[in-house]
Amino acid sequence: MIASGIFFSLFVLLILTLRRHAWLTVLFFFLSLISMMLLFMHHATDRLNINL
Amino acid sequence: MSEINEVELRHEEHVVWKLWPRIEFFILHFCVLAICGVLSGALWVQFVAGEYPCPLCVLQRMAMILSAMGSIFVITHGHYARVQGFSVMGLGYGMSVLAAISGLAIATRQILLHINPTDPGYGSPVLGMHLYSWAAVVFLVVLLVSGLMLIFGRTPILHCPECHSLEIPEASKKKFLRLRWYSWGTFWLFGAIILVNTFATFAESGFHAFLPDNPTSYRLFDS
Repeated sequence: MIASGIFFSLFVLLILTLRRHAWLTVLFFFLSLISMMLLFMHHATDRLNINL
Repeated sequence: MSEINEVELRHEEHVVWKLWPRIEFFILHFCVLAICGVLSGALWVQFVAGEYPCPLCVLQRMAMILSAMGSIFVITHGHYARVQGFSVMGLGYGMSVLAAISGLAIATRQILLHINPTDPGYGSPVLGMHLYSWAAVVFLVVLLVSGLMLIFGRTPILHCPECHSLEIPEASKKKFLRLRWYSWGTFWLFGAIILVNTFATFAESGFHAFLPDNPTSYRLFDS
């Protein structure tokens, strides 16, 4: 569900690129990028059972 | 001052500089359509060949969509040099570069997971390479194109002497920008591919938070 949520935020970002303002585009871009990288880090470290 | 204008005028007269905005616009559309083609290929492998995408494959799709978003931004805002103080080209290609770097990291991680010669790799190879290796190639090409466009891309205002404003007027009543029919076509094709990926990923994960490491079914439809 998290992955499909990120895809949906990418769709929202696409719609926001039509707006005359840029700030929301920048905000949603970083929101998507950071969530994507957090999900990547989860999948990369999950099997290692690292105790933080 | 007059010398500068004369130099600029000479550049404007050259046929390459006259055609360049159109070529640049064509390259931007081509980049988005190429990413749409790659993502359609991945969907074909998923639904026709029946191979389930792993979490890293899904993350690479996200990074590809995000890297094409920069080109979409330049297409939608291409007739202006700046928007709210941001350089249109800087923001667009900057987005593509950051997304391509993250996508390259994800693809490299998956390549390294299967780099052992005895490892069969994930999924079946296409034209001799696995999809994650092709993804790494796509991200490298995005980086290359973005760098070249940042060097050779020109501020659109230089090609539009009748335009008096560099920046989108703040007082404009219209909330959304207008596009030409082929830009709308590219835009909505890209949007449709994002939505198909949204539903396909939801079908695979079901109501679980994360995707399984080695998916074998669509968990949404499992009873």
